[in-house]
Amino acid sequence: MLLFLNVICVHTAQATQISFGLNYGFRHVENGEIQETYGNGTVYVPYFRLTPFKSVGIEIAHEGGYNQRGTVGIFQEESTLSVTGWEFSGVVYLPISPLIGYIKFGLAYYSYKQEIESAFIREPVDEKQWTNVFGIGASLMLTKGLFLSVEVKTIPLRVRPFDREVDLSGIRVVGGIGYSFNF
Amino acid sequence: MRNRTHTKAIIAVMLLFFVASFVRPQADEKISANLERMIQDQGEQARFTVWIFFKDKGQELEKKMVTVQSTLNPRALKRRLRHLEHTPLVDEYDVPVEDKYIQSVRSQTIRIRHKSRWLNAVSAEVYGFAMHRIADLDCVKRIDRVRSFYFREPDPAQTRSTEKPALTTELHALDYGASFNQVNQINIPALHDRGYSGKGVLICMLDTGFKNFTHQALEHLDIQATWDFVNDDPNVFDEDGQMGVGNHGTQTLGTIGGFYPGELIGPAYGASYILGKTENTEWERHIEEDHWVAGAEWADTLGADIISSSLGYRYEFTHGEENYTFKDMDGETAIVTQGANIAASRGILVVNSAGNEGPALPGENTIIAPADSPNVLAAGAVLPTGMRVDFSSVGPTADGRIKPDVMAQGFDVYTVEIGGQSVYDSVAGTSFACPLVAGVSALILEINPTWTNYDVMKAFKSTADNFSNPNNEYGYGIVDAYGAAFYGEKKLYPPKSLTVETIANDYIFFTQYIDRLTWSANPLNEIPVVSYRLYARRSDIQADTFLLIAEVDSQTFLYDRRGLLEEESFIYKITSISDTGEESDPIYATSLR
Repeated sequence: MLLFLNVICVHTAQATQISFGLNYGFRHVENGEIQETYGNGTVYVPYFRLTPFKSVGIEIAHEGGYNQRGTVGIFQEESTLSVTGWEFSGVVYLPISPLIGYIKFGLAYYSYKQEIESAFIREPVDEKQWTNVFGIGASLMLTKGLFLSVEVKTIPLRVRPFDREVDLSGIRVVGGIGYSFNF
Repeated sequence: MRNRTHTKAIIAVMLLFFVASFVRPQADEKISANLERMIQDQGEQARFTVWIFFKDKGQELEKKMVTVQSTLNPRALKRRLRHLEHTPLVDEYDVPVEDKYIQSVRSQTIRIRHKSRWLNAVSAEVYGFAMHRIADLDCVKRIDRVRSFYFREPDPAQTRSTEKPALTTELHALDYGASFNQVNQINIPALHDRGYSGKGVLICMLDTGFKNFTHQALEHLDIQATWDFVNDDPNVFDEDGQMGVGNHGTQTLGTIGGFYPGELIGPAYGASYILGKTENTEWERHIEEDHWVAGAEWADTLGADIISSSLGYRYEFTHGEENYTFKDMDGETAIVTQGANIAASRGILVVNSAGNEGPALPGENTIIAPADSPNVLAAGAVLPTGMRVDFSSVGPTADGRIKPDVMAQGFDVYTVEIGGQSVYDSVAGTSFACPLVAGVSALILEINPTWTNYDVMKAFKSTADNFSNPNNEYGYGIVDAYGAAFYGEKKLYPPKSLTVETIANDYIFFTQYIDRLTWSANPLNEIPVVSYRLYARRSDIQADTFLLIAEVDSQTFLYDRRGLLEEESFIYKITSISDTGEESDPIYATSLR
């Protein structure tokens, strides 16, 4: 992918644009058992994007906010599942006036943690795992620097903290506001 | 006036004699109707095995009783002292059959088989034509046939099961091997752990012949006497040219007294034994009741504390003779039952198999004699799981008493085999429940040497698991050896029946396990219990030791031990705690994942 970005950068050289913003929205959970126990949730995603070329950039984003409570086990013990992560993506812009569409693809480093309010838990779940991120989105410039954006992304996250695989994957549909300027 | 009175008295006396001459039994009346019919059917040249009952024990009865008392075996005397504390140690039953009477009938018989002081009779082989001559003798009270029976074993198809023991043997001092379930089901290891093995108790086994005493599980046995009542010699092994032995006796002996750690441990491996061969195992196991009675008298003479008899008499074998019917199972009709009653009256605890005759028609029973006696402890059979085996005979007796009395494993019972010195087999039948119960009896008498046979029977019935609701299938239930041995003591007992259920607890990302321990209050406890203590140790780690995991109040009968992993398995023990802080002996259970 770095080679891909390098090639694009060579062909689309321009003044570097810096963008940052905050998205917020819906987080779907694929796994039925997780969904039944903890439900779908919401996430917030602050991000920083560097666009050194006209149609290509890189993004660092953090996803947080999925911090759901639910009861587990035959004694219905209170518990919390939180899933947060960092994403490192390449972004390719596809201007479709008046919007600026984009797709992004990259690596994500996610942590997941299940805290159960029980004195009997021998080995709590608190793990981290690398995965991928893929998303598409669009921005609408309100002013020269201010823009609105929407994004749909998916992060496949199949984890196996012990001997059982659990699917924490899910689609996120988020939207928010951002600001960009040339540097 | 006086003369007239005398005349009336003389006439009255003459009338009395006249009437008495009619009342006195005639020869024909002394021969039972069944026997008369048999003689008619088979002819006067046929040979019959009969009981010849005598009218009394002859002259100078008191003097004879004194003589008998002075010659009583010390063991028998000791047993009678505890049983007959307030009655004479010797009575008419103990006086031998009058020799003059025997001599008077001997010439009319082919041979005398047995003399029974208890029945005041001899069993003899007699030609039909001689029967009336014997009946004409003044000393003869009655003549009846000796009954012959068919010895039944359960359907071979029911002699195997694939069920495995519910618990392992590792909780106890001895390694019971494959015999663990049959002894653990009736709580014997709890007594073995305390060093009891039946030592000092003399058990008489009445069965088929016995052999293979060099078997690794039998060679330790203290066998004090043997007698073959079929062939009338001391050899209870196989004998060339004589009636053979089956493996039945050897296997019942192995069940009660076997000892070879890792393979077989019977309940009373430390007891002493006398072995009576009372079954003719030639010809489809043809058995006769006079052998049994003779064996029981022999047991009394030698001072046996217990008779373990895996034999029974009801369904006949030979000559199409009529069976004992369910109405005869009234505790006093069958000859062997009468013999067992007299044995019990001497203080001998008679344990007998209930029978393998299965369910009864409505209003009837399938119990066999002498298990029908109120003085005999009748042992029925259960599966290793505790369910009654279908073939186990049922009550009630004809006079409405509950039978069987107690239950023990009678299916998949592990015992010795006659085919080698280290060969074992699994067998089935109430025949094998009987020696298990008799073995427990030996442990009880070792612990309670002052108890009578009736004390032991009461302890059994009061502590078996169905004691509060006895019925005619399970009797008073499955034996609790520990409970029975300490019955009546103000003793702190552990709770009853600790069980462990393993429950998977799903936390989505992983599963932990819960061992749910349940138990119940022990109704034997007269000492107030204030709490229960639960201990656990890993069963998959040999060196692990028991640690206290919880103490719960006396109204709590469930404890969830949580947070367990799949690879962990545990042995649990639970004790009762009294208000003075005393802690009972434990009972155990294991978790299996």
